[in-house]
Amino acid sequence: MDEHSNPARHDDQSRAAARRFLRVFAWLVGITALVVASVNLVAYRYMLRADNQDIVQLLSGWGRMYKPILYDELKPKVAVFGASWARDAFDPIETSRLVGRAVFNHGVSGGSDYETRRFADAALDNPDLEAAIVNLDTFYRDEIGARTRYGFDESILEVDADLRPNRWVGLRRAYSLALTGWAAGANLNLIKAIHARDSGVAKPDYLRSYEIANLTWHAQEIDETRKRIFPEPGSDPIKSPGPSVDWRQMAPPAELAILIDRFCDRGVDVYAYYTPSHTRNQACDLQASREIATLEFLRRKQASCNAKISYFDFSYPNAVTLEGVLIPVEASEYWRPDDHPRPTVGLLMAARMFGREFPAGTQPILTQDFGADLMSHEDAEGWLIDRSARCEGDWSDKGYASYVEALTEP
Amino acid sequence: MVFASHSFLAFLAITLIAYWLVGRSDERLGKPLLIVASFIFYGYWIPAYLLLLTASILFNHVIARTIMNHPPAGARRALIVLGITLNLALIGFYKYAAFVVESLNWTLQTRFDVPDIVLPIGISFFTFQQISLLVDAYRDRVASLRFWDHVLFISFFPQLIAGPIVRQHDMMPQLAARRNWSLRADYLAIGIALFAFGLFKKTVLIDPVVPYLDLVYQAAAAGDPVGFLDGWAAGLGYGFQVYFDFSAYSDMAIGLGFMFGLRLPINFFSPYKADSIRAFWRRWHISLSRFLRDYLFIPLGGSRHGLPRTVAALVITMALGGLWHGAGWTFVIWGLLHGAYLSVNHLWRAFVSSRLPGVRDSVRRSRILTLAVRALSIVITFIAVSFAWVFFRSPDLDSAMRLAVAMFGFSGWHEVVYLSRGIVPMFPIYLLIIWLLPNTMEIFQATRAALHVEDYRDDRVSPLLPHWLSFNLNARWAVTTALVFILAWFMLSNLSPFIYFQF
Repeated sequence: MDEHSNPARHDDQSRAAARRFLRVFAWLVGITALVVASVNLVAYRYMLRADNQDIVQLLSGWGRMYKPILYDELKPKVAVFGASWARDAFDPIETSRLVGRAVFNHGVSGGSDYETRRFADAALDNPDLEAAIVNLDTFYRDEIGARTRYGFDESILEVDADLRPNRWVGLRRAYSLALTGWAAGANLNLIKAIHARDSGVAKPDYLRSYEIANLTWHAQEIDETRKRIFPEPGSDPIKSPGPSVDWRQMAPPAELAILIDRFCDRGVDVYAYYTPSHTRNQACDLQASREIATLEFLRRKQASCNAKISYFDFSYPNAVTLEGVLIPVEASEYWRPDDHPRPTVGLLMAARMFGREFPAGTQPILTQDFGADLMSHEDAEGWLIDRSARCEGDWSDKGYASYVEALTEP
Repeated sequence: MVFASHSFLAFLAITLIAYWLVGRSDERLGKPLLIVASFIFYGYWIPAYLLLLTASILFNHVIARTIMNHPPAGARRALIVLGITLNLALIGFYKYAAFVVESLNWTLQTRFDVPDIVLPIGISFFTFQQISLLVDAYRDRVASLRFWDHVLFISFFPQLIAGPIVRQHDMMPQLAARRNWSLRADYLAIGIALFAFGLFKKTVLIDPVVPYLDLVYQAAAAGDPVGFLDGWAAGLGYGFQVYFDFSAYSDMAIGLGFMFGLRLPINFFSPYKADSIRAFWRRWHISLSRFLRDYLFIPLGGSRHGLPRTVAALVITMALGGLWHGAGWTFVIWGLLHGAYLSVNHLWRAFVSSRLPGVRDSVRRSRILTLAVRALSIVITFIAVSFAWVFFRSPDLDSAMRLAVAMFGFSGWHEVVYLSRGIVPMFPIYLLIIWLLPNTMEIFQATRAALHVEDYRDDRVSPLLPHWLSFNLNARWAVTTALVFILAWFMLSNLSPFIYFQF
């Protein structure tokens, strides 16, 4: 047989074998696709139920595909944007109850600035959206990160990066929901979690966002933190590692600027915030350069904004971020094992942002000192500098003794 | 349209159904249908560039036909020069104009406006095919050239935008001899299997971890410190990425061609099993290597005019080969590195033959020594190629140099925090695949789905191919193909196009 002659054997036997091959292939692919699509689509209807939203929206790993689709179905009035720090902090059911409006948590694992802005672009298509809670940590980063992560598919968003409508979105979404490994993976996890909930398993055991950190595992770091933040009277201040970047010398994050402009144009109120992080992980910036740079940037934006911009900083030594520093805490109220804030912190933040009652049982010191709207504060820069000073033991803004007393209460 | 996308799968399904229906009514209609489908495929991206493709075909057809009509020698020479010049001008304008202006501005400190030109997809591939056709016509090596065969030869969608670079003598005889253009079950089954395995390599094996690799290159591009481990993660990681990406593409292209009963040339044959850089280029992007060898290296003198001339020809060929991949100095340096590697390889071979024949013979007599030397040669070749990939992948010379310096251990151990995540844990699996498993062409050897596979009979270094790993049209392979396809299909995410689509 020469090089260019017909390649396969031509006999009837070969063709019959090929037909059998194609039949088996087609049947297997067809049946698998049908079964997977049916299961996935049924599961999707189940996902839309209001009482499943905590599990669905706090489930880690599948948000890039599901959340834009779910968001468009649920049409919330408030949406949370950011990475997993935001995803883990805001339980949509509890936060909706507290705020009195339907809240959707659009946070995704490792969400980049670009992805977050794109999710926000698509969210603007919902005319019911009144407010956006935006985690600023997603945008102010001094490390290299990927622009997008695996699973982020811009073609399922209603609009492209320039807000032009995307083509075939319905078809792509139907495909994503029915015939992707993402759908299958998410459904398996979802079914497992719902089954655990219905069997009476405790929330921290089936919802990762509610997992509880044992802060005594970090005893040495916490001890160092305690010595630095609550120094013995008369002892020398202990320096902590400072920030690597002076944000006041840098341009504001481009994606954040786009996101704020677009929310402003559509009249959507913005609640921008820095997430709390445990004090043992906080770098001390006595000049609060990042927070003040953000403040100046947001003030400039507010000047031409059709909506209200609020700005909260929770990332300073306070009763949440100092948990376990003065007395050992084995079961943290506020922190997950990976140092993300738990939904209990999200409720405190939401109460402060939306001016609602703090949840019952909240420590009084938290109701007095946990974030403030810096856009309307008379001396926002002073507030930020005072709180930054705490991280090296300067408590002149607030009684050292009263904090020690509050934090050592059992 | 990218092969690994939902839109392409839909396009393929529609084209196959149309081809089947048309074939049932009139088996001659298959060819025009493939031409129409190919033009739709190309125009899906930027319809206006269909005019460019059409103009290229018309122009080259006229020139080739005129040359084949044997005008006077001077006119023939003028025609071939005109043809090649205009083809190179086309690719030069679209691909290199900005690069040339930028380089001028940089070296002469001028301020010419850098043109903002969108590169027509596949232009490097179809222009090379046109040039090879003209040269073959000039050398009287084209047996027949019918217009519609020429149109399909250039536009056939499986090879249009990222190769293989098909030569006229590979495709034209198939097109000329073909009478029955209806869909055949055996071609379709084998083509689907090849396509499925290619899709699997891309969507399952490599795409999910690529973002982690990108982090290291982004860090280098941003001027962040990168260390020894980062540098090698970048070099080896991109080596794996481009390997799986391009081998996936090649399998899919050959599979797609075969679905319609056309055989495309082999393009990829376990290049990381090569025990020398020369062997590497016999196995990597085979259709390009052959083109460069036949239309550049040999006309430049080849290896028959002494060692200095050979080395010069190698370096020039590889530098231009590098430039073919992209308009940037990083690509030129990548090509020069390979030119240098090949030169060292030639010099070494000459040295061993003339000065160390005894050592060479004693190594050959010992099976263990032969194996050890071969294994060492494979590893050295792999490391050299991986080092060069850093230049190929880096967005600019600064970041390439930063990574290269790091690879020599001059900048600490490691700096990028993501190093331990993502792609690095996959390295052992990738090494197992690239060094120990048979390649797709070996698995599908019995199907003869690709041209020139037999040329690689002696290059097989996989552990023996077990019978059960040889593709067959039986139920076991049907189930395997279905599972592979389902997994690959469910992992489709429209995330990253094939690397070679940008060339």
